[in-house]
Amino acid sequence: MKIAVRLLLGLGGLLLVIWLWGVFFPGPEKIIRKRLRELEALVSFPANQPPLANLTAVQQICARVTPDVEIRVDVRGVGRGQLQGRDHLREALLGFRSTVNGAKVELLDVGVRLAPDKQSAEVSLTAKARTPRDPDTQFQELKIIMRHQGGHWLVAQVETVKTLR
Amino acid sequence: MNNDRQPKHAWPPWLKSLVIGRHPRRTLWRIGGLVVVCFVTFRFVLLPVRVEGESMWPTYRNHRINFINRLAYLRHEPRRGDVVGIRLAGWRVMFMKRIVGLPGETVAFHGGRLYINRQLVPEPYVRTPCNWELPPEQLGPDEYFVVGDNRGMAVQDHWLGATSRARIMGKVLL
Repeated sequence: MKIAVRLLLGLGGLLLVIWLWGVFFPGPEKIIRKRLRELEALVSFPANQPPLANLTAVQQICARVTPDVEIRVDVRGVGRGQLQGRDHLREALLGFRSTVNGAKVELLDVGVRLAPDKQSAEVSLTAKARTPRDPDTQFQELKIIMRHQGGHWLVAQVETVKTLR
Repeated sequence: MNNDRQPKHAWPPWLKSLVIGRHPRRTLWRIGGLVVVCFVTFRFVLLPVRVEGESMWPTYRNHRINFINRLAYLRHEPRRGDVVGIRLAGWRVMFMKRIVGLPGETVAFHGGRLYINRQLVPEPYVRTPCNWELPPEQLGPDEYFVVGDNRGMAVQDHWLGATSRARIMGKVLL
């Protein structure tokens, strides 16, 4: 009985150490997931948000992308579009926020595939978006390329995926 | 003497029997078994889904609960007319659509009617007339053409098209 208790305690201790290690020294995948959760919160905004708060959120989003970020969109019913660079992204986000009064965005089914050199990663996810002007929830599959630059994981490329061709 | 040893706030025997049964250890095992069975069933076999949107109206209405049977295509491949769940990046969000075109076939819509390999195919599940026009599309050896039942929607508002076999998660159960 004593051996069993000691074994259980040892196993519990080992699990605790592994958990603490993960908390204090997170791996790239965990950091990327955290980054995406931050982006999810920043992209969402409540109705009637003051312009200054909008500007702050947009600046924070832009700080999480590479200077040469590339965004390629091809959505049925919306059309094709392409953005390149932080400045264009900032303009597009501010324009979007001025025309749409509030949006709730969730990033679901996040899958992270690290490159062998661990300096870039390909993320696949489903974005779920809801805006007050559209009664239906919109879903879009996305592919995101993230790069490790200056000690941070930044979004380098965003591309819509055609689930149905 | 025995009565003195009993705790003051002991449960009445009938309540104990009702809540945890006569043999608590067996009850615990049963609960554990039930949890494992439910987890395996609803995580790997029958995926619970909630319909969002009207694209499958009138067959499936908005906000209805259903299940995707992941074992449906173990013995045979998907068939025309099957309503299936199509995964996006993962299994938490799926499109619910009806298979109308099978691998290698040519699918087209003229005047709102479905044509497979230039032959008109009746669709008894469609209740709303439409005037969809889609040019013929040749499906690859691993592709299925899926579309919703609600043809009253404008074609540009409707998710339809070819999907690979790997994206088909299973058949809608109910």
